[in-house]
Amino acid sequence: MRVIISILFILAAANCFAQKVYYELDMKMDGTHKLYTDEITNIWGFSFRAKEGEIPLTLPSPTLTATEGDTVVVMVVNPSNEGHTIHWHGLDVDQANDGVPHTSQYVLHGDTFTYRFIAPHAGNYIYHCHVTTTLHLMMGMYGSFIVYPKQGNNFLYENGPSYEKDYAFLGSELDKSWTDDFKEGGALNEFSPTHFLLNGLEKNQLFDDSTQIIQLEKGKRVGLRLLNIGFSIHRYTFPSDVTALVYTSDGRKLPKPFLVNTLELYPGERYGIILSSSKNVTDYIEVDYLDMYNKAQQSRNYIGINSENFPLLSSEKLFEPKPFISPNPASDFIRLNELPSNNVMIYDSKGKLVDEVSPQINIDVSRLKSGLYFLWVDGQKLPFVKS
Amino acid sequence: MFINRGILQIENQLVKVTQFNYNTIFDTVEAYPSVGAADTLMLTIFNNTSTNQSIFFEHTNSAKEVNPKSFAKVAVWKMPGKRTVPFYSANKTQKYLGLSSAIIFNNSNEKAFFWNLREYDESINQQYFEGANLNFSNYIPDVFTINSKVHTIYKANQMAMVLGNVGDSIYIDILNSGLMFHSVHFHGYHVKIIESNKSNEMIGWDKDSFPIDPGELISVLLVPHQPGLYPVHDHNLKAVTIGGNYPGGMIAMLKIEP
Repeated sequence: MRVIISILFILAAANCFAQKVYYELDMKMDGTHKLYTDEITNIWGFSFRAKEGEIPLTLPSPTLTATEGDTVVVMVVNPSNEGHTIHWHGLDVDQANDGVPHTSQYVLHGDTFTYRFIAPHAGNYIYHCHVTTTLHLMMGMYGSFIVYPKQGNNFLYENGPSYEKDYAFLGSELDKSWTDDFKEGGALNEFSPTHFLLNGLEKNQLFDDSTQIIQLEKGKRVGLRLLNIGFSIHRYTFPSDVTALVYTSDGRKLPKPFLVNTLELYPGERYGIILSSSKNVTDYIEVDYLDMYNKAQQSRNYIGINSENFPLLSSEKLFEPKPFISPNPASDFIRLNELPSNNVMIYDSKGKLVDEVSPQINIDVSRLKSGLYFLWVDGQKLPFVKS
Repeated sequence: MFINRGILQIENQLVKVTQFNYNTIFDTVEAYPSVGAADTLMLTIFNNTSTNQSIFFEHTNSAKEVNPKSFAKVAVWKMPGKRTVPFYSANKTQKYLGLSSAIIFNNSNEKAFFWNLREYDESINQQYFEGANLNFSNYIPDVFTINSKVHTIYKANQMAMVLGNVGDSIYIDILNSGLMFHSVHFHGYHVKIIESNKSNEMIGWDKDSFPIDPGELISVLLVPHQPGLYPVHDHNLKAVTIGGNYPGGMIAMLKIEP
């Protein structure tokens, strides 16, 4: 009897720590997003439900959080004209809450639905729409879902490594021709990204937003949460003065932590990392986007690390890969920063060679039709947009 | 086992392929022999094509030549610590056209399933059978198959259906026979990665999403903790289409009973 009472007491005590986390989200298709080019394009997504008025969409959708063991309740309202769902990517929820239309349910126009599940393991997860996923996800219907351990928000997992502060980077891509004006019936296998994002930002947008710059002080530890909801492979290359120790993947503790200089995330993968350094660092994590055909580089972003309160390098050009091209988008000429050694090839977005020119600084692109192209310069593939 | 040429009818698309069959006449069911873990398989390969075929076996790290309208014999045994022996054409084009599979060694009481992932650019296959040399520079695959079948909006891929019960140990051997990199995502469950024929640091990890490189065969162990019907799909979302339409392509299903 004493044993039973003790067990009941323990279960009751454990239950006291488990909370209910409640979110209300709208599913919408009427958002806009500013690209690094200052152009505005359309997005779909989820926003917190406002008591009054409306909260506009963001790219990505807002980050949701819970504590390990919490009961998560998410009520969604769909005022948009199409059906949507939420798939809780990696959270291993039951079938009814899995968010797959043909095995779970749709949330149709005007409907509401309430998802319920237990946040099972501390770690990094993603939520996204699973209706016509190739399109709805690309349009922006995704966000991060972070589950913290009961021990606190400064641990990767229960009794795991601690950190001073954590940063999450959710990588994705966007095809502007789709977000500007998607034509129903388009061939979804021909998605061709024009913008390569981290937390919805690209290029210098990542330096203009101070929350995206990692503050890593000498001797301190920072948690880094990396998530890939894109169509490409995302390769992170860490600066030599920074130690990157990988502890978790897909919401599970790894058998043994390991050090990395580079780490590749394939679509759907997530990692939990601790960054540290024996000295103050002002440097950059390179994030390369590689296509799934042959790992050809599509683009690069940089995440700033700044522990010395120095201004990050002011010239945009310093963040560009070498060789770099400008302007981009271009209407008549593209200028290379140095004379290439070999002929320069221009490929269209389908990979078709459209022009080849002898080595020169100024490349005439005036005859090209508007769209995405790739300049092949001394073994490097550089995307550019012909305006 | 027979090397046959034929046409896969995938929805509205006709894809000309070469593949391993159990029958002397082309059929759409690919051969992937399953053998007892302690057994040696004596395999006879008949080449019904008009092309010399060179079939590479990973357990001997060597190729077996099979002339047109002829046959060759090969003994296949279990490699220590490995569940599978991938075998495929040593010729990239023939491999792309479909000559890639595996022999699975498992105990008779194990639940084991095999998924052969492959993508095709229908126009490139057509070029080959019209006598052209293949050019993959414009490779835009539009057909994404598992075991030579696809999931469609109307019907799940019955050749990629995993059946089991809560608590079962279910082994799934996944071969990427295509040219692309893929990223396999499990709904409902994490799986343990137990084996790869490549150097793979993920062995022993519990994952819901993991990469599989061209030519890689990854074995995973699924022990379901809950019942349900769940998809498993490529999270490179171009590959969950058929003819450009969603859903389709590389989607398998898990049907787990209580």
